[in-house]
Amino acid sequence: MVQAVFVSVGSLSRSPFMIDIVDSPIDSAALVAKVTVAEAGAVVLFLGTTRSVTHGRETTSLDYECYPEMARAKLAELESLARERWPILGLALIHRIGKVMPTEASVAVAVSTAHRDAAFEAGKWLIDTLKEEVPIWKRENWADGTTEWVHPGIGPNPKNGLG
Amino acid sequence: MSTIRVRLFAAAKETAGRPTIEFSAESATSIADIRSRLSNELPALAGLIAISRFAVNDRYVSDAYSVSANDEIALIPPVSGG
Repeated sequence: MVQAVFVSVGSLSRSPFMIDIVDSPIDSAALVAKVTVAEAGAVVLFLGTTRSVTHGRETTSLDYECYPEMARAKLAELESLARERWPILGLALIHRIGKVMPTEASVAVAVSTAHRDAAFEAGKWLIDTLKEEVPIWKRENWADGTTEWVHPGIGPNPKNGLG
Repeated sequence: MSTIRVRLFAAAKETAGRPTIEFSAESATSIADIRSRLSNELPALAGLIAISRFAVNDRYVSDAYSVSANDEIALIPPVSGG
């Protein structure tokens, strides 16, 4: 099996590169295993998790929605741009949609490189850019029963700001 | 005249109460025209539309972009993934 890892890098199942949008819990251990190739000396994993309190308000859960075709296209573009910029050996970029409960991960970025600086830099760039460019939105389901789509730039509640 | 169909997401979809909106337009229509028309059709969303981006065929485009007959157009409110 070890030999297979080296000879079949191009095949889908063995490739240490993947992007995905899923509607079930993210298996972060599987992602780490996927990107951890023999040449890597550093593996960085970032998980974005549902926070139970935001600006003093309690959140019951988050609901994520995406524009599926474009979100996949943008994730693939981020992978491609990151691989041009850093010597990345393995990369997994996964976003979950649907309902995500506190402590659960909505997004995971796993990067492996030969040395740690590149893995940290690429991982930070990937999550920062994902949050700015990929068409995915979260809705806060507050503990008081109200809900609110998060659209940075339009105030705490879009509807309030729109009359 | 042609029919312009715009996909809506998140607060735009929820406030409009539908996932797409259609309206007829001149054959040569820019994203700026669509932005303006959309605000007229959905006045409750004017503030959000003003700060949203548009995508055509899965790519962000500028207001100057001229849409073609089979383009898939989407209103992309400020994103909040992660």
